[in-house]
Amino acid sequence: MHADHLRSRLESRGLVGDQDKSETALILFTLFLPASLGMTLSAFLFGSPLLLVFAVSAAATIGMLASIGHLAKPLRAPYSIIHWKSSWLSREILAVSVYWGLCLAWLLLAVFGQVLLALLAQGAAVLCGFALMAVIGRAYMVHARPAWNGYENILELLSVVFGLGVSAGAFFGSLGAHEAFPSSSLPPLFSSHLSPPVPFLLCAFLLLLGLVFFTLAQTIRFKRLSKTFAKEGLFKTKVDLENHKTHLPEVRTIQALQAIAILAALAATFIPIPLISIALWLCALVVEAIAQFKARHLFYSLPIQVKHVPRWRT
Amino acid sequence: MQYAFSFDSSRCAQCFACELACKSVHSLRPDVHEQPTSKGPRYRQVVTLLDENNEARPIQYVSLACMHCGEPDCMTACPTKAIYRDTEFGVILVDQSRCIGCRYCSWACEFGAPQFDRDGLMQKCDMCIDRLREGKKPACVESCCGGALEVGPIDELEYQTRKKVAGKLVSKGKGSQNAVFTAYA
Repeated sequence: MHADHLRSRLESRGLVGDQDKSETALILFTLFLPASLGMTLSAFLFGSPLLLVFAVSAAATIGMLASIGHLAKPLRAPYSIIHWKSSWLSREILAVSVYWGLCLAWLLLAVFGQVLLALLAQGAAVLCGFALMAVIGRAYMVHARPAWNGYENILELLSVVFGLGVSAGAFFGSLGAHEAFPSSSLPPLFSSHLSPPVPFLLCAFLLLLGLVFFTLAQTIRFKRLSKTFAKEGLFKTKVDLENHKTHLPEVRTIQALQAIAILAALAATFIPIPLISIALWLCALVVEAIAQFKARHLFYSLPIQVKHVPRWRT
Repeated sequence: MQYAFSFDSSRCAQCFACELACKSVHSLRPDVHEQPTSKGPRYRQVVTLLDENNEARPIQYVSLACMHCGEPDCMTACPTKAIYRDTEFGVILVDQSRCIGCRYCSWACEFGAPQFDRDGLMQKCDMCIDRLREGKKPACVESCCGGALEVGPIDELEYQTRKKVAGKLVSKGKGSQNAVFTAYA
């Protein structure tokens, strides 16, 4: 059954939440923040060139602005950390703020040439970033949305970190690694002691890790839902699982795009011509960006609310 | 004192009087198909359930509104503490001056209670708390022609439900002839 047809059947029976809102802002949030973490991580491989540091802060800022843009009252956003003791969303916003602050601190320290402090800020940003991924993944685990209520959310976010983030980091790293661009404009903060093609090979490996995490997340989610819904045997839950199966072709497309990005990355690693290498890394970045955008869009269009009617005694 | 709704599905005829009365009292937009997949805010919704396994009653109607839960997921989830419990009737209310319109409560709620209109702020069933304070019943309860909906202190509702069930058991002869039935108030 086509997903839209299913949805309209469910809506006519009042079984689906009927107040949809475009989730583009949240898609951008869950793309740019994990990508900035991936770039921060890959910066270690290239000696943290300043251009890459700027890109990390820019991505983190865009992600943060996107999350505020999602709100009906963005100016009230500072109040959203009040309930951190019980609300995972509050904790997420706190973690985002700390991570963003560390990225900006890293940028300022790098600009002023404070290498050691910049390294510490970068390390702290990486640790905070991974904690942030766990918090974001946990925030999406709500009982009313069975498709989201699993730890595979964190794997999907890590897929963005290692897929989109590392490919972006490798692209900016490749700009500084080749004589095609004057290195004085992109001075690395420190010597990474890794000479090409080693850092690029590591980046290609991390892209592969991103694909593995995405595939693992989809497998775990489908197995989890099959186990949950198979027991229920109610019409609406059968329909939800059927609806979920219709997303499989989309999953295959995303996996294919990620595979193309990995191939482009490998080609970029071993081709000695700098401009072609840079172009291939750009290609890997663009393809990976399309793949991850589709993956996040898929996440937000998964079968969502199954309304539970409380059992009544008659 | 905790107030609650009680709903008897065997009395529901899907007349939608409860939904309409609610929309009227709260001045909600009457539009049904204004936008694709949007029916405007509906504090109370009549839901049709199909149960293929239930041969006796394969189709049932449920008038669903905010459950005013004992441990509301929406209240736990709200990042700004905009959702709170009224101390007099135990009703779950929302302070729109604190709401940021993040919609996290709508993700957390299993019953689809949080609703959003054009301003993007959360609104939902408040059990017509203004009417409760005046000693009246909520609009949906008053308008229910089949007597399916009721409201009251939760202990009282539970007792009435048990009494009804016990009465049905006795009338069907489910109890032993020698058994003594004692009703506890």
